[in-house]
Amino acid sequence: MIRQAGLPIVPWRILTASGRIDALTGAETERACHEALRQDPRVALDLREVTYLSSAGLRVLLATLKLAASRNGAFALIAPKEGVREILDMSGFSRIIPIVDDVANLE
Amino acid sequence: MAGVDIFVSFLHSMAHSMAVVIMAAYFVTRAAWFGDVLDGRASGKTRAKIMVICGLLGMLGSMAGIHLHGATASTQFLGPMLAGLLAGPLAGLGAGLISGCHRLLIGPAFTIVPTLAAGVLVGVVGGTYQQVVTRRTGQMIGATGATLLAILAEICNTTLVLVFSHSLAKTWALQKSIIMPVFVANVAGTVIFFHFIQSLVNERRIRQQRDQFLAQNHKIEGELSAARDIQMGMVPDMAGGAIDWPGGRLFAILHTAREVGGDFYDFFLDREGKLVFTVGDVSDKGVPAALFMAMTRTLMRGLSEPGQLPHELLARVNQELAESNRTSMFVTLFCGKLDLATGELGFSNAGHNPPLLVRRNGTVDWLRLPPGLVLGAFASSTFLMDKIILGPGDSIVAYTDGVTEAMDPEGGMYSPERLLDTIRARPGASPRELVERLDASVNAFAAGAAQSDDITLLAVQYLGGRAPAWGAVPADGAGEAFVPSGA
Repeated sequence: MIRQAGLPIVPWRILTASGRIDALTGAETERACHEALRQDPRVALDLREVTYLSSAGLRVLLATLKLAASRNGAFALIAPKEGVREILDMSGFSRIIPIVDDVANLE
Repeated sequence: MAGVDIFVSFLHSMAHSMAVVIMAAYFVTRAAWFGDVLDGRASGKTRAKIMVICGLLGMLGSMAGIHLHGATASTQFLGPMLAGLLAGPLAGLGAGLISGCHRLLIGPAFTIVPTLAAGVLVGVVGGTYQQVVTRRTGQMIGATGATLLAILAEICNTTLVLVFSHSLAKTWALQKSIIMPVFVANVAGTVIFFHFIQSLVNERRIRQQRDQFLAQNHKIEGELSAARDIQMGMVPDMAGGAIDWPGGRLFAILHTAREVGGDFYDFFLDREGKLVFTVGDVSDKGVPAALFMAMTRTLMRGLSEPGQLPHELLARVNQELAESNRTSMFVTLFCGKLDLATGELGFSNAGHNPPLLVRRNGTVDWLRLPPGLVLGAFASSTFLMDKIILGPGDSIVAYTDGVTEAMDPEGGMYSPERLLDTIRARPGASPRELVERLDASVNAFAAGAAQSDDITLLAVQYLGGRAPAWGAVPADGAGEAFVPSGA
């Protein structure tokens, strides 16, 4: 990747989620992500400690992706566990939200 | 009597009086008519009752008190004070007069006027508070205000007794020694009584709130029940068993986790005679999911056209859903279009769980799905389709993740593997038998744990040519395996 000299590199704001993201915990996750997007245009959600993602959780991710897009920002996911990755693949979300293995790989 | 003896017998008498006050407080505050008293809406009859009861209370207080040549230590003024505070100045006045009756009997004469005057004064003052404050605002006097009133009565009485006394010094000496205990007893009595009143007021308020809440709840339950009926009307009724067409048979089950939910299945023959069948699962649960389900199901039916390929239908439905979607809800969906004459099955996928393909020779495998995003996310999403040929006796089993993610009491999941194994155990079964067996299997696995998500199961079997050469298959498919000739 070539960076133009003189342009500032926009940093990513990293949020870490843990446990289940479902109907009970989704609202909190959504609030945190949207709050972060209000301050930083690029937000990444670290899913290393997330054990389960329900359809309510997927809805939160979709809403966050749309919000990021509307602000010309970006939203990405970091290192989902195997089960969570399967859910993201099956629903097709892994092809609309960038997923990286590590923070370092965020562009 | 020595000073200590006076004090001890005074304590004794006070304890008596307090016991009476407490008992009276308990019964009065729990009387049926007391509610009206608290609201300031007591009838004349009720107010008369209160006047008499409180008058008697005052009289009892006087009788239990200690009287030493005009110096009185008793709770005689509690009665008229309460009468006034609860039922107005007239009741207070009446109770003041009644409670002074004992004084009339025992004398000394110079204390009669002070006693009656103090009793009437405290009754009227209390009654004025009741008229001015309680009747307007419904606010009963607090313990502090009541205590001040009690003290006022005692001050008034003591002052008037001293005024009317013939031997001021002697009377004052006696009064001085009992001032403290009298105040203490009257304050205690007042505080206790008003504590009862306060807890009663709270109790009433809580009961009112609870009744309101229950009524609201009941109404919501009624609406949910009506909504459920509407939603179940959108899902084809399977009460009569499997549906048969020439060349095909289908059975399905849907168990919502709540009154209304986001799962659905649907099927119909389009104008070309092809069987279009769908299984879908809306994100989230409850009323929002049900509304989105209704939209999706209706769009699928409304936008379906003969000759249209499954992925084209999904694209059109997706566009409509995405455009009227402010909350980022979505639906996963599997849609198949089966040609009942040839066994050709075209299918498309929107983020849904892969169905199972059950071949007549017993092989059971996951149907490989073309990738596709959930419906409703982005209006411009495109979808793909794939095609397979079903042979006579082959089946497709579709489901929602309420099946594979059903949990047992320990939190273990049913899992796709168990679904596969359960079908593999006896693959050659009719749609109804397959679905019912899977349903029972999930039920047994859950072992009583609460159903947390909607459960949908659908099985469709291609039967082959219109006039089967290999013997009739029973219409309800109950338990009969499909056996082609020569097998």
